[in-house]
Amino acid sequence: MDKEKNEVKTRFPLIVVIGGGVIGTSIAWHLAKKAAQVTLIESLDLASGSSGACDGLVFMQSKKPGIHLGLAMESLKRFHLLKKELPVDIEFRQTGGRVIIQTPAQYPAMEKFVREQKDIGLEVCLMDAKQTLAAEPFLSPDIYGSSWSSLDAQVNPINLTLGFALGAKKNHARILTRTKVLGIHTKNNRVTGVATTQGDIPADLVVNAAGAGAGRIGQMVGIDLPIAPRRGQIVVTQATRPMISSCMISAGYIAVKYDPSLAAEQGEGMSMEQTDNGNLLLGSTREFAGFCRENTLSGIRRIISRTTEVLPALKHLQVIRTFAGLRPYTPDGLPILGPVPSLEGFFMAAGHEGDGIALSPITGELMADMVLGQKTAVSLAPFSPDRFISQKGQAHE
Amino acid sequence: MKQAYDVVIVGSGVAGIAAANTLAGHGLEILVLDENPHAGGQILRQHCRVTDGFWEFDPRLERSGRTVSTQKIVQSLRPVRRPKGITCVHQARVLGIFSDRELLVHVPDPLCPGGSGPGCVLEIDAGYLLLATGARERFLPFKGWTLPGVMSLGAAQILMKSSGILPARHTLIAGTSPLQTVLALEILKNKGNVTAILDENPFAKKLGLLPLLKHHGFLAGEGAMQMLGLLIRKVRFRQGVRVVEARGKNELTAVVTADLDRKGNTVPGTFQTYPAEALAVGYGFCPNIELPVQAGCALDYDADRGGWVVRVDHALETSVAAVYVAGEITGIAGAGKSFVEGKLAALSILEKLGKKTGPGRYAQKLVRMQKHQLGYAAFLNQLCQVPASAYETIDDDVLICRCEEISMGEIRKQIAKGFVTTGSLKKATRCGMGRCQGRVCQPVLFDILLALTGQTPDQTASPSFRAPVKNVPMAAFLHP
Amino acid sequence: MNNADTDLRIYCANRGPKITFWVDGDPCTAYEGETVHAALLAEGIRVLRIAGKTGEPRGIFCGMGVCYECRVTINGVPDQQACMTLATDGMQIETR
Repeated sequence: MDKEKNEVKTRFPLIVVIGGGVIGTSIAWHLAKKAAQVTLIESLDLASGSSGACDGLVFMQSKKPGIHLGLAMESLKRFHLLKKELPVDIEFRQTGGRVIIQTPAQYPAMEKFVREQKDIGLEVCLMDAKQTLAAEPFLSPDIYGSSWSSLDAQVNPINLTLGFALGAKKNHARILTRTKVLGIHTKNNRVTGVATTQGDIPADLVVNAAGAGAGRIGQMVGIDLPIAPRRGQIVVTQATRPMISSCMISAGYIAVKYDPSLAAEQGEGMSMEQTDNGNLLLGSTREFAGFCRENTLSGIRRIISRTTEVLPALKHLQVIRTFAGLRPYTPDGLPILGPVPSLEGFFMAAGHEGDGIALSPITGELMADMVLGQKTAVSLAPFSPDRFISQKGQAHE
Repeated sequence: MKQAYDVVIVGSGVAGIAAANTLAGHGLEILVLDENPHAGGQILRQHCRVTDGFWEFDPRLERSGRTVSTQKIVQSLRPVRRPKGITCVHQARVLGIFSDRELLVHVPDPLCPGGSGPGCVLEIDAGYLLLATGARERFLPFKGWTLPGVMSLGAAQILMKSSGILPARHTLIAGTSPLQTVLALEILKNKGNVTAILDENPFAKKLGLLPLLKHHGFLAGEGAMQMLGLLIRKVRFRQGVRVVEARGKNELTAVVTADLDRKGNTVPGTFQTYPAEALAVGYGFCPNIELPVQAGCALDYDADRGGWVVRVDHALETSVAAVYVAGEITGIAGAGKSFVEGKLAALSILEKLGKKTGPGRYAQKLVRMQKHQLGYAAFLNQLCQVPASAYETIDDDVLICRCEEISMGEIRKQIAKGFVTTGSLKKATRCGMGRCQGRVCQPVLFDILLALTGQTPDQTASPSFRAPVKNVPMAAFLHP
Repeated sequence: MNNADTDLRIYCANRGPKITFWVDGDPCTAYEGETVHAALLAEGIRVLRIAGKTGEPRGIFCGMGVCYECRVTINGVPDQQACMTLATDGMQIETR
């Protein structure tokens, strides 16, 4: 037994990353760059889950000040490097982002919000309706203003995922698509391999980056994690000439944090982004509907009515596609990153809900460092699975 | 329009009309949805003009033996003034099918409450759903196939049938489809000119396929008669040549062909140029499976039936309960099979509803007819197929996805990087992400994948489609 | 041969009443029951739009609502499928 243990320590660890979404591929790329022996397993195709069915917002303004925003800012820095490093054009553009104020009641709340953001050093400014319309002439004259940050950006989530995967492959990672995980092999409370539809894959370390499906993978080793699929629907318009120069979300989403009395008027908020190709991606919904990835007429209607209210010119476009992704929801809104106490060699990297794309560069880097036992640039303690599960892998009461 | 119907039929072509009339008269509320301005689908389009009612086939049609010819179907079509329980809505685009047979439908203005232009989107519940969405044409892309003047064989036919307008004064016809001769005769009948028929199939291939028609002597005879008709009218007819380029600055002016060797490869130095105002070209058909896929129906791949087809049981029910399909989407085999399957699917639904008891001798006869018609499918689809080398040798600068303007070179590049499933190749190239949702390029892309990677159809995975499967104005969603 | 050299209308076809529609500001004649794409072709208009990326001209391709190549602006509404729309009297059509 001791001999076996030594063996693990003396050779390079075999690492299996489960999940071919943006988080899994980013971890695989970061690991492969460090010359680790990594195999990525994906049950369908790369980016066939939430990473292929989402918008590409890399929004700083929407993040909770504190650890969440801190992580996002670190991620943002890395996007600039990824643009050069990845073998695919990830269409990263720092367009700046705008939070649209739609009611007079939201204005004071947003003033407070902008002050706080400024205090922590974020470049944000408040614009009145006139200034906002001067910058974005197609917006409705009925809006009350916006907050603007030049930091906010957008990226093509599919290209980003494919870029990470191809980059990992270039660095000799093995990528197995159309391969389903059937179980995790363990011995003496330690991971030894992954059983898949393509056979057994030996592993010293396993990273569960299966997004909304991460809970199911956890259950295979008796770990009960509160990750739930939360459906987000997106509407795609035809490609058209530039209609908006920056990405946008509605203030309702943020204002309610500062003035809870606004909760009634804000639903799921709205988001808009125009891709390099010219399509507008309109979002989004946040629904608990199990693992159902169907769109719904009511969901599509909500998105279209909210976005056309802000950008009336949208009414003249056509919808060419809709899709829905299952965002991995966690009760406290933070991802679950780190080792699981009950099983040695098993790591979690899931639960980013709507922030997976924005946080993928930093998540991959930190997870790679952590998995290889190296010091992480940012402490991952606040994201530890410990906050949800006990030593035995059971959920806290 | 109501919110729920006992049976909803999508498509009012041969199968849809046959089904609707079999279902009528049993006290059922039947809704027929069709995206075209008139009923009839592709075969009957010129015969179904404005009527307050619907259409039916003379009952004598099904007593005409095992072979139901297209000609007989056309001749036995007749209007019905007051169809029992049938509501037919035209220019209604079914955008998606959600769980429990809930249809998302874009309907034109007159059917919308307080409508004003863009129409509206409705949800309609179907007790039973019958999809009879037909087929579309297949293509083998060549340089310049996007030039105005290059069109499908069907497009040229439709111009004449629907609007009484010739595709051009002089039309060149090419491809592998049996529609080539049908179109040529139609053009000549309408006093247009056919510059030449450039049939890609060498005579030897056709001869080799003839045994498949052993139970379809009638169809073989029909084909021979068509050829004779063309011979008499001295139409220039070349076999074993492929269109390799369409030329012209803004519009088509010339077409270049190359001879094919025995293996179907183009022979260098055999290029010939034809002046042309219009080139009608087609490579057979593929089933319109977007809606059944949306509904969650399982597919099978069968090249002899036209590629990906909907999996059905003997009653034409799909893998999804209460969703039935009929016609070309179970296998490309022409109007005769569509007619029989439309009736069969309707009888199956009636039986499930308790409106008819037992399969009956009548249904048994229909099943025999269906099998017989399906026998023709192998001949038809093999005739239209081109060898894998035809896809392998497409030049890098040829556009494959017309909507997103993605070239063969880009596709080659991504396949080489390991994107070898339909889903992943679409993500890596954007091929099929445009307005047509891949209707034109996906079958081509699929054949390219098979040819370039040597995979089996199952390995490349079946296609997926998301609602809306047709473009729809944003404003249509804003109506209540 | 047709009676007029440029006329693509089939001589003996049944036609509805004559109508006038407008293409890029110019009056054109057609007959009720004809689809917009056919009526445009009969007028000699084959280039219906310009593709966004390559700038290539596009025209009729599938003729049956599948390919979305024949998009034109009809009565001010952009991107309508010409092959799926019947021409009507007074209709305003813009090609690109």
